[in-house]
Amino acid sequence: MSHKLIRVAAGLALASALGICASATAISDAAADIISTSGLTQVAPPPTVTGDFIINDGLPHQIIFAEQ
Amino acid sequence: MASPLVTDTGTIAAGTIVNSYFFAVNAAVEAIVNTSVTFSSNVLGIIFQEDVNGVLFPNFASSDFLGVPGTSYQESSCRFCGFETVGQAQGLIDTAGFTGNVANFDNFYSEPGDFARIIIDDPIAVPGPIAGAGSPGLILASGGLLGWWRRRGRNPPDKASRERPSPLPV
Repeated sequence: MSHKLIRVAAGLALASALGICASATAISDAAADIISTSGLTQVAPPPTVTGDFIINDGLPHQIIFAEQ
Repeated sequence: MASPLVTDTGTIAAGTIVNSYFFAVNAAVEAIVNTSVTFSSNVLGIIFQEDVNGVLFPNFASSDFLGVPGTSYQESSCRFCGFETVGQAQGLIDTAGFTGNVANFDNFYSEPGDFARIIIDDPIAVPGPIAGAGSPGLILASGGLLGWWRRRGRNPPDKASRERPSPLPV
């Protein structure tokens, strides 16, 4: 392998490694999630929570929804 | 939370970062159900109780700040919207509890519904996996260093170029 080719390969490898490292700053989601439910349906938050909001809104009888 | 939060299963310390979920069961026909939910974080507390007259414990209203901003919460003024934990025949008593990240509920419900608020530990935000920092990155970096080392070995700098000229005129 010629010197020039080695130099190019080395440069590409270093640039690739350093470049990928520098671009990674992702932060994972901080919200607690539901993994699974038994007998409950996860729904979107309703506009109003009253005594019979599930019946009035036509939702499944047993629900759970995320707040904050 | 800026101040401690009292739940029906204990008090959550001030400074704790939490998430909350709202549990509700409600139907025109009476039903007896056992339900559960598993979260990605530990459950810290549950608010679910009402007194013998069906008036919700004040913990509901005092935790409404955890509610969804666009939702109007009127459960605090609703009688029998909590869990009936007393005054019921055996087998018809509502219960709520949790172990680790699993919350369990037993309900005998109809109209109005039975409601609960589940307080969850908020996972701490952590940096995601860094691409290039693992084995592939190490291999690539090693390859680059190897190439540099080989090039350096084949073309050693001559002695003259290593000797710096004196910066001062002689």
